[in-house]
Amino acid sequence: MKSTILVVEDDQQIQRLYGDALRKHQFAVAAATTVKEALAVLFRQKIDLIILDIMLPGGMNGFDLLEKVKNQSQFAKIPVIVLTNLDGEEKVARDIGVNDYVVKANTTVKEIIEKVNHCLSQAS
Amino acid sequence: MKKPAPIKKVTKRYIVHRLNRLTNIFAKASIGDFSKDVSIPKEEDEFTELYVGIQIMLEVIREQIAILNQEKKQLENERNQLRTLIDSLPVGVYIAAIPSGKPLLVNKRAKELLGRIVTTAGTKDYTPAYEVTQPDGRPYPAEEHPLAITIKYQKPVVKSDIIVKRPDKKTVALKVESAPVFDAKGQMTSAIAVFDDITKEREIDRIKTEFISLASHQLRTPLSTIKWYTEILLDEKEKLVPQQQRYVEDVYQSTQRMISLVNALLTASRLELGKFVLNPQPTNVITLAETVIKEMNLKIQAKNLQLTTKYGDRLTNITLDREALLIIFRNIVSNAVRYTPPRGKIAVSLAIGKSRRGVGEGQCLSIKVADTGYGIPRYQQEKVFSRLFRADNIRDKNQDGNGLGLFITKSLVDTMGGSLWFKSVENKGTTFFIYLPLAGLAKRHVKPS
Repeated sequence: MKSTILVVEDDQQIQRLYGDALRKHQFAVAAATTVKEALAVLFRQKIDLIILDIMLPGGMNGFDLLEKVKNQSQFAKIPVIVLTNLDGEEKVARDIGVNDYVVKANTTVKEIIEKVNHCLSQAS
Repeated sequence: MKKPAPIKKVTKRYIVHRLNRLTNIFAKASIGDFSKDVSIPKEEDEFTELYVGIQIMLEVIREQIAILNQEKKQLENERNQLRTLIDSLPVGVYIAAIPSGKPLLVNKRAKELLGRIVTTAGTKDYTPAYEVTQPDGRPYPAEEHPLAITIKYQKPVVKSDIIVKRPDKKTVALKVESAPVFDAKGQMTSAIAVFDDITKEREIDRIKTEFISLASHQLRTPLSTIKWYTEILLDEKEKLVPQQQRYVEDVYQSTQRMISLVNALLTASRLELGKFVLNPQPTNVITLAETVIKEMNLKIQAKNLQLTTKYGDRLTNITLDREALLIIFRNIVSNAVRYTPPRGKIAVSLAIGKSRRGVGEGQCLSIKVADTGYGIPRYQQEKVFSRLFRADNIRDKNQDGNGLGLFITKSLVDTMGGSLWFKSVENKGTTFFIYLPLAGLAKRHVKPS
């Protein structure tokens, strides 16, 4: 069965790009642009991995979602990869329990897919 | 009949009588009054020459005194002019006694800038009423004050990171230049500090740096999109005609360069704002160096450069900030690659060794990168670590340096408590030496300002 990746990203172009690239590599994709939408998706369907941006609209940021996910037993095991352009926040994210922290500008689509596969293989 | 006086007695009386004419003159001279003339008797005898001689001497003395008085007046005049000048200078002037540092002269502007100066020359303990701190609020180490360095090492010092908290609670940022004063024999007699209020400049600089930081960060997102889409296009480049492939490759390369520049600007502004937080973790330094060399491999091969490495022992588990060391390696190695002509040599050596050049105590990670490149012209070597520096001799050879690499490297090495210097001979090559204290690498933490 296909793994489902929840992409939490407010930039429409990047959202579309993640979707295309992930689907091309046989993943199912669910999308959210705010923390609230992401939580709705999490409660509605089974998610295998979350790709998370930090700066999000709607009053809550990626760290808020990360904390909620890691503190709820039903979600705590879902691997989370932070993909952001903020590079001073890695320590904070690692402390909350993020599985990987990647600076968008410094990575490639190929690397993102590799990281997704790596995190999924470790989680299973 | 009276016996004539003996000849000896007569002579004596005569001499005493003649000398008495001078008594009054010498008495006056002894209290500094040279105004009385010698009255020279009409009849000439052996004393005439003495009288004339003394009269000439008196006249010479009077003349000298007149000259001295005039010079004194002139000096007083000049001193007043100087005093007025110093007091009306737009910069603070503080002349310090050595070795105590007590103020000998403080001009008006200095008093305005520093607030009250509580101390008088002659009192035993000298404590200024103002407090001196570093930009991040930590106290300024007493031995690092410009005047303290000038007094200790008898050399001029310039510092622009001095924050003064005045007794009235106001703070001013100062740029201080201090210099020793020597007498004719070369002995140091006092030290002078001249300082200027740079509070506004610092604020403008901070706003500028924050703007760059914000703008760079905002630039990263669209750059990531361009980079990823071109990457996807290049993944399926067989679908493109050769010319289109080349165009997409160029877009990819340019985007990558733009990202590197934005990253460099971000790192530089984070360092300037004191927001570069070191996050030390156990690191294999050899792997890190090899990663950087691998990144440069295409360029190394394209220029047919011969790169050799030499790694010492105990390099596989060192606690340090990986990102910082990666940036340092990248900058130093890429400079060597960039500024060495084809078929040149680059030697990278890493080792754990003893502390050098006063870098902490105990052991150091030493990094040495030597090249046979264009070198840095001697007259420009002082400016190498300033922002946007480009050497004159490579301007026409290479366009892709951004002038931030060494500025960032130096700031990072400083942040890590280390030391960085180089030797360079034009057209022979450059060698960079970096020493990072192992103890400091784990402990140091730069607090956000």
